[in-house]
Amino acid sequence: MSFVGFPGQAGRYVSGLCVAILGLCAAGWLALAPVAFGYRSAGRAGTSLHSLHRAAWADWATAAVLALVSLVTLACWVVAWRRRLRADGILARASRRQARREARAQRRRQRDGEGAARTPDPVQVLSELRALLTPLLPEPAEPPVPGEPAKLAERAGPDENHRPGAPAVPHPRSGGLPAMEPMLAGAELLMVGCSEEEAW
Amino acid sequence: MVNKLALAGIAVIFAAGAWLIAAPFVLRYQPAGAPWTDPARLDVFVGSALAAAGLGGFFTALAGRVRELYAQAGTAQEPGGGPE
Repeated sequence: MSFVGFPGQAGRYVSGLCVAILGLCAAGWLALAPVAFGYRSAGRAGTSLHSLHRAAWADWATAAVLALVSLVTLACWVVAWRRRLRADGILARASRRQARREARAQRRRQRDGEGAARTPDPVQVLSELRALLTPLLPEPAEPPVPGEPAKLAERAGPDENHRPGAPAVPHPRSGGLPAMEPMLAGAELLMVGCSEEEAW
Repeated sequence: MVNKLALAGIAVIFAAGAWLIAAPFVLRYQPAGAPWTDPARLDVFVGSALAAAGLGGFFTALAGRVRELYAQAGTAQEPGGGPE
């Protein structure tokens, strides 16, 4: 059910605000009426000037109290409605300055999160690198039999790197994984140094 | 607290209306049996309007508050699932 077309809870606040505004208008009218109708200056037949004075003072006193109460009531309804709108998520929860501060903090958090996501774990990178490089390493060759180096050279054919027009591709070096370990250790040292520098 | 204060404010506005209706007779600027004077007529008219508006506003606000409480109670029961 809604109040005069106001959906949900709005009717309650609108009616409260209307009553408070009506009270303010009535207070204004009561304050002006004794002057506008000349209660104080003119006596009429059947009414004494004293009773008119009393009526004027009663109106002014009532107007003062009514204005004060209406203002407080109006402020209360405004605050209550704003709270309700904030609770429903219709109004922004915080002031503009606070919202800006929160947005800045959120951006910083996002940036830090992305930075942390972008910085790879050195141990993981090295293990992946190791896994990638291991298949490229040649099997440890059997020691050549003396007297057969010429045959071996004939079997191997010409060096691919020295073919005319061929791109220079480095070949796997002999020595296996143990030979690569110093290089990997150097890479690890380099990465750790870089990440420490970034942290600074 | 603010809600209670706002409701109390409406009640005071209603009371001010009632006071304005009674004031001519209480303060005796409307003698009994005499024709109605301008101040008395004006006060009774303004007082009636204020009292009617205050009474209507008070009950509308109270009804809204009660509806809000019912809605809150409904949403509090939903997640747990009430007994059927």
